[in-house]
Amino acid sequence: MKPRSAQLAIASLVVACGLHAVDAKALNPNTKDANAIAKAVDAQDGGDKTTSLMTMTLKDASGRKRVRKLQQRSLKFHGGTKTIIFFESPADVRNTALLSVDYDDGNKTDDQWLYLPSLHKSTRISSSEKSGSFLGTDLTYADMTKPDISDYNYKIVKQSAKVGGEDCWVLESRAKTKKLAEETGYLKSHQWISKSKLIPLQVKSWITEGKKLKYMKFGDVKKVDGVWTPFKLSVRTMRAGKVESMTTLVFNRIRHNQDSVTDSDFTERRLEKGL
Amino acid sequence: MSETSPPPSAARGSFYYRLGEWVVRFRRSILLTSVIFTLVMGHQMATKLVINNSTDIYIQSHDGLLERLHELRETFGDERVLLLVAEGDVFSQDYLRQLKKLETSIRGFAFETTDKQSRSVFGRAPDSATTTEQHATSDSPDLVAPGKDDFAEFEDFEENGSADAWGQESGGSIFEDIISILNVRQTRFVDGALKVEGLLESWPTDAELPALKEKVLNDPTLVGQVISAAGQHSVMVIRTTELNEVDARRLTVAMLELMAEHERPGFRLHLAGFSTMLATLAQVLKKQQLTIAGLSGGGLILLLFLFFRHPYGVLGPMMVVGMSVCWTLGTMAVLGVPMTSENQIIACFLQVVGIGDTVHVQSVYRTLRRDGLENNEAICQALKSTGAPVVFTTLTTAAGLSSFISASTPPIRDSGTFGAFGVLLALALSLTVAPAVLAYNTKSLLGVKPIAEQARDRLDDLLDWCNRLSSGADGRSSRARAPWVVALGALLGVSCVYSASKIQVGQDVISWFPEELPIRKAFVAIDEHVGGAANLELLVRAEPGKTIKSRELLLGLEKLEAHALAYRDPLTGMKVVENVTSVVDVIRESSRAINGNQQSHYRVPDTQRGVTDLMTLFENSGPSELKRLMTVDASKSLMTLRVRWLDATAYGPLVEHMNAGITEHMDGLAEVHMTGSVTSNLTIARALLGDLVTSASIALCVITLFMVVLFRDLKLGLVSMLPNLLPAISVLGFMGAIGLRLDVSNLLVSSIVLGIAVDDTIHFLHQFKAHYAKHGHVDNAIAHAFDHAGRALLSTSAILLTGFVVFYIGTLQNIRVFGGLICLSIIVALVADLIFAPAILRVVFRNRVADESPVDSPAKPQLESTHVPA
Repeated sequence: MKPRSAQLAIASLVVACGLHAVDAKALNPNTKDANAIAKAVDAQDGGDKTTSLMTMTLKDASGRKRVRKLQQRSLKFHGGTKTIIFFESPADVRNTALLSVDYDDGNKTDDQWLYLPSLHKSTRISSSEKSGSFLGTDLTYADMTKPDISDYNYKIVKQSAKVGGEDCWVLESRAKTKKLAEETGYLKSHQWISKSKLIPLQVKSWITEGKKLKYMKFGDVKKVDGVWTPFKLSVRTMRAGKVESMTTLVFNRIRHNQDSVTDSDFTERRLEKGL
Repeated sequence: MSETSPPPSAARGSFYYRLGEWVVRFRRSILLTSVIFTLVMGHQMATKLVINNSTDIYIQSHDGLLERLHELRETFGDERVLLLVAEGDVFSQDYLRQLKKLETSIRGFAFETTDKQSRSVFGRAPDSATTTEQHATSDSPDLVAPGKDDFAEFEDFEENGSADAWGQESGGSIFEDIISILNVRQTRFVDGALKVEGLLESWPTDAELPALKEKVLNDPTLVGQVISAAGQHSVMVIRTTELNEVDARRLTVAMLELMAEHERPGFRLHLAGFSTMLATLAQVLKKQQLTIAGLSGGGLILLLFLFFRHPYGVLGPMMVVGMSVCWTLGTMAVLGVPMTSENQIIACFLQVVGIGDTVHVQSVYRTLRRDGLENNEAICQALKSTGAPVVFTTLTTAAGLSSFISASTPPIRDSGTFGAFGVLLALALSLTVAPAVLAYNTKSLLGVKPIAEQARDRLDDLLDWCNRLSSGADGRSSRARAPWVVALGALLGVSCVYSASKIQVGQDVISWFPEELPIRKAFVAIDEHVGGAANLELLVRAEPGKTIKSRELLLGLEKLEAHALAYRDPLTGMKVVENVTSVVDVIRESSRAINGNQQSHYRVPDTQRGVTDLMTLFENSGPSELKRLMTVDASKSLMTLRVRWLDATAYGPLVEHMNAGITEHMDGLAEVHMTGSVTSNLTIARALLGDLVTSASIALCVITLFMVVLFRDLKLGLVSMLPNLLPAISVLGFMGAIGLRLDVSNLLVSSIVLGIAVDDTIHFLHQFKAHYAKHGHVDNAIAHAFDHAGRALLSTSAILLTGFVVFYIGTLQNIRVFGGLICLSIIVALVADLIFAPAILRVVFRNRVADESPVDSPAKPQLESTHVPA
């Protein structure tokens, strides 16, 4: 398996789904080969040097919500991905920032720095939990990971299923090792893969801890700079038939392959400089 | 002994006589119909009757209390945590490994709730989400209403349940979270990085254990929370989803089984917590009730057989009791009214009324049979003779019970409503089913000897002695002793009123369990070693325009925390609040960690931005922990006080102390409400006394009115209340004298006592009045009352004593106390009616004729008609 991609990279999530559709026609829609579908999805190259604005809304079971507006940019480098996120609003958290370096080597611990304006310095955060929550949302760091398909067993659960009118395969993925399952926190996942775009449109995951279910739905998919890119992601965590919490990410001004994104954007100094 | 005389022809036209004729004519249909109906209602009772011992049901009518409790549970989870105490050398590898195994087993524990039904992935189960539905905030329609959000199109999700799905999609562990020394959150600065992880996420080596021990035992946030000060006990706090009574019981049983599998020498386990206590209580009660009901029923049958010497004499009363219980509880089941600690004693009411009514009817019936009446005629005459007093005694009991409809606590109201309904059913059955059974008795005199063979026995001697206590030695009207007996009764009454004034209200369920029972040991262990077995929850709502992140508010909470920890019990001087957890802990811990673990930074930062930053840090690093302490929008927060287990009323001063603290430290910052089981129990305990006083006052007025109407005589009606009240006052006086507290399990004893006393008094005074109205001679009328009601009073009292004395074999102290108090009251009621009532009558009433006619001698039964309609 590839190591998890940039821990705090919203871009990588988008990238994981935002795939070039060039090879879609190469795959027979009636194929029964789950691994071939997984390979075709994995083979897509996502965008790099990505910038975006994001509105993140977290709701609890009673509908109380927390809204954050974030600016982020990401850059792939040899051996991993760097991502920087600035909190734009509300005003009380403005300029709080996170920098993460996600290494492709799964044995290497990812780096993460947090800048808290009141301390006037950045602090390194140590975290080894892939199943931990990403920015307090329903997403985990494992969700931000583009998985290594060789670490998973795939099978087609349903040959044809419609999502928003699009024909999809329903693919089941299951970690080959118990260790990986424990790391990601998932027993298995079902992905609805668009046959025309070769991107997942929705995902259902079985969470081991608490035996919960998580539903993700990618919406408002548009082609940006040649990349199929979802502009909305809704995530819902459920237990015993009840909604526990819900996260909505809405992206604006997503751009890929921006030359303005350079290595100097991903330093502690830049982190402390703020917006 | 003479009970009656051949009926005058005019009597045949009476309602009760005609009722007798109807019963005899349709006896088969009556019995068949009632048996069929009993089977139907019995089925309802067995399949639909719900047991609910939850305290929630008691606080429904207390303004805002239940709403706040639901708000707490919906926002921060169920506060009724399971507390699993593991005893042993905590800082040893064996102990920690065993604890880890136990925790893993619990996390993987498959428990399916009884209300689990097939649920839509996006919709809610119709039954499971009632609470959410009732209390969902209006600004959350998109999360509760399917079809209104982005997920409405996910139809396929519902088709993909497989063998390893979480139990048909509706699954989900019942465990919200499990916190123990293994995973309790630690925010630390390690190797130049901030680390938020479980305490033992990195497993310690043998060499590291001493250092770990020193660190943990010196951490005030851990000692009294997950570990004892001596390091010999650790506690696992298990928070579950909100479970119903049945599931809570099942979970307790399953947890105890699981614990038994993991228990080892040096690793002893105890299970405590409020829900465990209630589950254990329900379990013990259920088991005990079967034994008590069996023994009580067996005793009743034996005594009835001894008195009536024939199966027909047993069958009627037992059918009346059994059927009235079945019909009443069946009706409750149909109407969805749950059984609670309170209304479980409805069966006792029905036993009292059913036995009382039928024994009186049968006593007169057998005398009539002995006097030569044909069976059917004897039934009609017995109903005619006893119908009025039986109806009045029952109506009086029902009216007394109805007084509880005014109670503030729903289970007590239910007890009043269904108790009254049940005794009316028992009355109807006593006047129909019991005589219908007798209609098949063609030969037996039900234990009474033919006149020719009749001789005085010891009961006659006893009754004669009672009569002569307040009269002359010759049994005639030298009333010199009567005032003295009345004075003695008055002295007893005044003493009892004085003692009753000292009665205290309490609610300490744990004290009901025997000391050797594991649940009690568990509570003691937690109380002594790990902070306390109860929680007081403080729901904090930030004032409009503020959030919990406000530094000012957090400083207020910090002061409130110190205020709570400073509390000492006013009576014992003991520390009650052992530990406080709140969002302030998170801020202080993060502050310390981010400042290089310097203890001087274990405080709320100096600036608002500093607070906000630490909150942001924790939002990102420990969202699940934060979720238990603060809502996502930071509008509400939870402060939990771990407190020692005390009698509910003993929390009163603590609640007042906290109210003062809230006013002092949180005014203008946040609205703070206390909630949880501690406040619920305190409210219940306080409501009980009010309910008792109100209901008893109403009952007293209603019963007095009934007595006056029954006897159509103001003086006799008022006089009758004296022997009625004495047993009730005696019971309360006894409780006050020996320090027995009034609680939910014995609150209604005084009502049962009143019911028993009223029954006895009415039967005795009815006979007195009948004779006195006709002949105007007090002593003769009293002798007549002894002759006609005395034996029946002794019989019913003996039978009821047998029924209730078996309560004393119960495991639970409250059940034993209940049985003991009822037995005491039965004896006092008998003494009041057989000794004090005649004395009062002799003092109050005067002969209207010359004092020369002979007293009716029990040895020489009179055959004249004495059955004057009331």
